[in-house]
Amino acid sequence: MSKSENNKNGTSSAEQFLAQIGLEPFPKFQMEAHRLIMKHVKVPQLSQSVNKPKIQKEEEHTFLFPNESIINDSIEFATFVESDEEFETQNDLRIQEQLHEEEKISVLRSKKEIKGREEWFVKIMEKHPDFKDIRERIDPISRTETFLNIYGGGKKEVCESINDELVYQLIMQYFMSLGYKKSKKMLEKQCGTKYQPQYLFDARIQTLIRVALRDTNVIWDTHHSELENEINGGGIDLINHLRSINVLDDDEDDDDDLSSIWDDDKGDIVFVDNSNEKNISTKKVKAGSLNKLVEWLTHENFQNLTFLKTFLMTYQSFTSPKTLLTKLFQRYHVPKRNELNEDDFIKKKKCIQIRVCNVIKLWVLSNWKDFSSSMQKELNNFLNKTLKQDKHQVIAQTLQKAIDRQKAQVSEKYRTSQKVAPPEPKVPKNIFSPNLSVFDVDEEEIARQITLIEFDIFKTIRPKELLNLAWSKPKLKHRAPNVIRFIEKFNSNSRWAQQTILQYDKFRQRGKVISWLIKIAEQLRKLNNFDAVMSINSGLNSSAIHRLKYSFEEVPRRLLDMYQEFKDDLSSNQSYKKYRSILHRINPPCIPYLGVYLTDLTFIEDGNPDKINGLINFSKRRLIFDVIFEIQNFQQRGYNLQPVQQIHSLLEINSVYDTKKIFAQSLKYEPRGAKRVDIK
Amino acid sequence: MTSKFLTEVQQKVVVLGDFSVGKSSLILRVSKNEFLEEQESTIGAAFINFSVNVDNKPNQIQIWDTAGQEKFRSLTPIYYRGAIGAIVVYDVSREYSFQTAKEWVEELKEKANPKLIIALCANKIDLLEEKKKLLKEKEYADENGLLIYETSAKTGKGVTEMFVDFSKNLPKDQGREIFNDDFFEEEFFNIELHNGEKKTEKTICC
Repeated sequence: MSKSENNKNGTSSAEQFLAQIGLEPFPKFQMEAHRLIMKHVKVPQLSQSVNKPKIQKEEEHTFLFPNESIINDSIEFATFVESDEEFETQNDLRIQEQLHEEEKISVLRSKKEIKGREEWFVKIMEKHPDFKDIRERIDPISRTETFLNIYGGGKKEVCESINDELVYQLIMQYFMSLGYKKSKKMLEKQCGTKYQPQYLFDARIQTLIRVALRDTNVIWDTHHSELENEINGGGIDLINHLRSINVLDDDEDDDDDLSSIWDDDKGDIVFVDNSNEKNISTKKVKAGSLNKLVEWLTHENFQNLTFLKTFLMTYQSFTSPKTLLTKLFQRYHVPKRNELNEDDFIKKKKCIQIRVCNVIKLWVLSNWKDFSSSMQKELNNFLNKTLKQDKHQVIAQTLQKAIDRQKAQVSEKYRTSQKVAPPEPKVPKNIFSPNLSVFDVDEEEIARQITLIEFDIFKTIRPKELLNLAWSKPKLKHRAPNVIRFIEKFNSNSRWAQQTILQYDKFRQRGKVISWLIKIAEQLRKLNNFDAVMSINSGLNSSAIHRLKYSFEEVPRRLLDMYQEFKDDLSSNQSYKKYRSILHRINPPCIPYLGVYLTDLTFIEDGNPDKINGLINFSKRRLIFDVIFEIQNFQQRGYNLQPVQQIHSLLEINSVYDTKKIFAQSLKYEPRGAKRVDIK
Repeated sequence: MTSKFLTEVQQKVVVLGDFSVGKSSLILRVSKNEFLEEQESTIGAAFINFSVNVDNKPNQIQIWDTAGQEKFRSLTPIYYRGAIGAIVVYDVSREYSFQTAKEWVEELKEKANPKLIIALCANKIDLLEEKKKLLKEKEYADENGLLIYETSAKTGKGVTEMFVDFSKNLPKDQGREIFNDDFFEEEFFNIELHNGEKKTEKTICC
């Protein structure tokens, strides 16, 4: 059958290979390897061979291994189970010819049914545990295939990149990992490909995965819920890991203007029309090409600090850090132009060079994490070679100092600027007791600890995470890990409130918990932790809790009024008008409710084009800057409070119920339309 | 307290839906009738007041949008509570967003006020081939008693029409009280509180 056909079709190397490695100590494993080779090499020819089965010839063939025919059949059967009626009949025929009696019966039963194929497969596996064993051992390789199959994004390209050589390499790599040097050598000889250690890991696999992941939106649509779970449960670790091995590199803009900043005649810069503004240095940029913006950034005659800050905070929405650094270096190397005399040229050159260094310095100080290790190397070169050559030692030193400071801080923990000792935590006497209950702790202390936990996450949110609506786009999500973490915390606080209430089956107790939560919200409000007040609010307002009429009746009037006040303060009415005015009056430290900013950013992003007539819309970035700047202001002032680990662990939710379960619980305790006397 | 609240506030309509289905663009489109135009648009657009004449009487509605806050799952009941209408938006070019829209509709039907008027908005129809006719969506809307609109925030097609028509379908003034923000609380604020005077104890035992 197909095998003999394939001998003629150029896969004899695989065939011979199989014969030779038959001498190896683990023949069955290599059969699986053979299967892989056959599968990849044979596919185009197989259909022909299927149409003209040469059963007789096949029977003459003495099998290398008793199981081989079964294996081959299982593979081909699996590969070619399609709706093609004719084929199926033939396939069944072939199988009938080759299988033992008892297997024949099971195959016949499976005729025309894909389900039958699975049954058949299971049977075969039961009958041949050794084959099952091989399958499991070869799992790493099969998994790679499955992975690529599932992640259909760029499937065509993936298929194109899986050529024979890659398959050989994969098999050889696997041989090596198990120490089968002889098999590896044999295969090398047969297929004429030298094994390249690490070759796959470093380049091919990464390329493959990257290609497969490129169209993540497709994946998102088909595997949305699974991915969501992954993200909620440690998926971020996975994503971070993928990034660390450069698999998930951001797709940098290909249309980045890389023409030299000094030879750009096409670029342009336009200003916000403001005829009263005579001073050129304070003119507001409306839009410009990247080259012109960098030029404006390092203008020889003046420095506009607001522009500089806005640029550094938002540039990643229109270019990459790497490109920016390249542009700045370009700008540094001022070419000699004929229109200037020697003195003027030297003066201009020096001015621009100092400006460039200033920009770099501020960049280092404000966004050190933008510098990848390769960029750090470039920067180092620039400091130690270029600047020294140009006799800018003093500048080099200042820059070096700034870099050193940042490097030291990266590992250093967040500095709390307060010199005053934090207030004594209000811990209960049984703080070290294993039976410590969350209700033993003073509400104020609970609020403090919630605030500390939240601020720890809040302060890690970086400006970059808030650009391009990264948190809401599957493709860019990995750019906003801390925003997502912060939102998750919000949701989990809300669930915590709901679950804490619903752990009690008596409405009086639930009423007490509600009162208790409102008191906590009161303390949170005193700490300016609007985010947590909002999350407790949302817990109390959730469908499962809000409907607990009889539990709410247990809450004292004073607390209900207070709860109403919090709700009014944080109402989304008129785009959070009331909340915004409160927020602008308070003194930090404060944790604002992030959602308002996210909505603002969404409207700014969707309501303004990224480019105006091909130029980068800088006015839009100024709007974004205003929002992020406000958030940053709040991030800078930490809380002067003492963490209490015991309380932190009390606030963790041990078992997370989903919304449906919580709602079902709520219905159980206070059924729809139940009278007060009906419930506990 | 609640009645005072009512006189000040217009009828509330919320816009819901998955990420990137074009919620904010719809609002931006109807508030300025311009899509991605050059003029800077600011955050004031996050809500709009909309007035439409029904039987020669102006009917004021306020449209609330939650764009950007989709991830705050636990917050959504706050948004639709007290609304008299909800527009659930999905993106016709992304099958998945219709599934999310259905989940929204189910949640609203189960947990929101039973008298809430729900509309399904098929957005981005400019991306849809002419021949395709949203049959299953229409069937779904029919089965569930939803209004259905086809819009394109990009071209502006059907956007203003949707908001006008939707407003006309909302209950008139007299029906407002039941949609008050706190229809549960309103009930029990009038009841003598049983526990009001009791001192609440800190420890709660099971």
